[in-house]
Amino acid sequence: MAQQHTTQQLRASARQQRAHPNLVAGTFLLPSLVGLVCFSVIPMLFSLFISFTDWNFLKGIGNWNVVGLKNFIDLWSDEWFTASLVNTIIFTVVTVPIGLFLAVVLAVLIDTFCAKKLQGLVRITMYMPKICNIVASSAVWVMLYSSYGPFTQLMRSLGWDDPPRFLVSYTWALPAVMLMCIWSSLGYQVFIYSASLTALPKDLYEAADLDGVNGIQRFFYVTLPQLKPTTFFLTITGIISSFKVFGQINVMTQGGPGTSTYTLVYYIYKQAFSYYNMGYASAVAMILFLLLLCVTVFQWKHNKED
Amino acid sequence: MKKKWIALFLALVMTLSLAACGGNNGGQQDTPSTPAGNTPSTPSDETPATTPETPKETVTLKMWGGVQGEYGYDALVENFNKEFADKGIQVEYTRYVNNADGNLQLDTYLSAGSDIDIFMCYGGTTRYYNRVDAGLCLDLTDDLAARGFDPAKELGATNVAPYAIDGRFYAMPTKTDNKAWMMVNADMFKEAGIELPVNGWTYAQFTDACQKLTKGEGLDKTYAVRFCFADTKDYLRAGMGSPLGINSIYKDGAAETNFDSEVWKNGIQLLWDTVEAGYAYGWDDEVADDVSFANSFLEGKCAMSLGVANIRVARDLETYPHDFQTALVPFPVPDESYMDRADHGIMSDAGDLIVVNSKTQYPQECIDFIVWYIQGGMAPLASGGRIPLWSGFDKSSIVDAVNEGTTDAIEGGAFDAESLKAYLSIGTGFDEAVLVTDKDAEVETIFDEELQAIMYGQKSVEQGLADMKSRSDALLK
Repeated sequence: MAQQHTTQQLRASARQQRAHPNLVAGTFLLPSLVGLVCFSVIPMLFSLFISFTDWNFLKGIGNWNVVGLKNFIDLWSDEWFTASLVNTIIFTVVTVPIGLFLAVVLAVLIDTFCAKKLQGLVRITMYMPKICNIVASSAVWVMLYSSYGPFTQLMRSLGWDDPPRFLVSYTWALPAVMLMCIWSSLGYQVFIYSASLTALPKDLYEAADLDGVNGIQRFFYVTLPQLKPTTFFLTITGIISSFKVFGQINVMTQGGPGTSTYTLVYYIYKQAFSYYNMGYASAVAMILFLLLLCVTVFQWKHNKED
Repeated sequence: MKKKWIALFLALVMTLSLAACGGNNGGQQDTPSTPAGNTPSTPSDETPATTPETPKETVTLKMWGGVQGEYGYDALVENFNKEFADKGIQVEYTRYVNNADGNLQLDTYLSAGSDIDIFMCYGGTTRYYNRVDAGLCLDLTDDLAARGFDPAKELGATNVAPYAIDGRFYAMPTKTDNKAWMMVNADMFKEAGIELPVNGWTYAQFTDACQKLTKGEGLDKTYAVRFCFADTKDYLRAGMGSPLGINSIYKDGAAETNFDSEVWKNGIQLLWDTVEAGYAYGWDDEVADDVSFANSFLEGKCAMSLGVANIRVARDLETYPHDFQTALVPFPVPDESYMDRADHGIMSDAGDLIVVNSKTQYPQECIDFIVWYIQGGMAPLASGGRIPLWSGFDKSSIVDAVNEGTTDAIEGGAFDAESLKAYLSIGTGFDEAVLVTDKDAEVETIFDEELQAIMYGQKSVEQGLADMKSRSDALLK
């Protein structure tokens, strides 16, 4: 009897020991979990629901009509949406590879040629745009691009009599914003690449030197393959942030001229908060969500394979 | 074990902190909220202010408007608060910025049931209809009638007609203006030997004047005109469309648009030619260099500018110091055959709608205020160019009010008195009923988009107008 009692006590104690860590972990997670559910999961589900309605924000919660897939069908005949989608894709396809290429080259140059004591300072200096407020840095770039700004004056001094008005040109506005976005994220990418470079095994370079490779061969055949995981990570995060670009567009061009710099997130903002078409805006947001979901699933599968 | 309890305690503290943050209302109110956020003198008493058995509390009405307090609202509020102190009604004014973000802020507050009692609604009928449709505006009809206030008689039948929805009024227009008039630098006109065209002028005369007024190059260039492309296009629509009458946009009972008219073609061609000749800022110039009324016209960098709403800015010599006199002249008409309507009297517009929030706890006090406001209370705003619409208002006082305090810096005052008198003497109202559709906002957007494509050289004037018409007509069907 006493033995049975002791066994029960031991079992209860074991249960308690198993439960305590879970309880502690759960308690720590609870605040974040509550925040996640309240500020992400519920709004996302709500957004999914209202994408099937004609809800106008002014009419208040509950005053909507369910319209089925109408919003999703209308999107494809809406020239502003298609222009936004195309611009977003162009933006991503251009800024991500160019940004990554510049970042890896700069990181290698800093690692190879910069004095050790200066490397940290250079990286921090390059990182500064990342921590600058987007509105502030965009406003500075608006001035740089203005008719009498340094970019235009430089072109005039180089002999170009009638240089483009970057931010108000149908042709140049999107490239001008893309250049600014590449600049603002470059420091971060250089920082990540530099961290990876310091962790690369030195014996590979020694072996390459013994084989008599030159600097360019060393970069393409040793450094770049070794940086593949970092490049993959930066590609995925770059694609996601490019799809979400908003602040720079809002400050620098407001989507104009015409539809030339409209992006998906800016179009969502205009539909939702200028025209109050919450249902339609949510439908665009769902399309954006699906695009980003595809990118995330691809990343997840890739990580699993690795 | 001890560590676990400490960890649990810390987690509990974090959770409670989060909960506390969630309940924070931004520090606006530490005490339980009063009805609709108003501040009766005895906050603990929740009895409605109009209950006859209790002594009347002082009710403070919250009013939101788009004009800075120093341009007349501070004085207006002070006058009202003095006059109504013994009646237990006071008012507080808050300025919101009348742009997309400012209106979004206002709409969000109204939809969330905030403490705003009265607000000014700008932007013609579009925003007004949306807000009425959303149930944000109180029906004023019966309460105004109970006070003997007949909108048609007090403000003009045609002025109030566009704001009646099924015979009910949810707002009252308060001011009149004429967007088809422009501001010009009278000194530059005098220097160039051009007589101020206060009685109207043609496109040809306007182009001649532009040629004479344009001077210099590069940073030193003085343009003849700023068409206000980067701001609202209401001024251009009024100026160019005026020869077609008050319904310049629509025809056939709003079944289709008028964009196939020669009047629109001539008007847009004038804009194109003026910009191409270098007499006016291009659309891209205005956007790229952030050209505004203040940094172009008031700095003497252009001789003419659209935007009569800037009267209050042009007379503010402290913020925008300048030493020239401003005059008001009408937008030109295509040719001599339109000179009979060169003053654009038909475009005189009733606007600045005053609205009572449908969720206010003090509807009667609000209506007392708006009747007071309309019937002369808004006089302090007149010096800033907001001319009261009320038929009983003495407009002769406006010229002196506008120039008050500016005669020391500018001989004769900030505004040319004769041109100001001409502007004030044009009609307020029209005989024809205004055609309004629920597609007004979309049609205006199409107009803006196609005009932009034309002015950027993406489309010819003919192609842009053809697209403007086909896109707009498709919406109206």
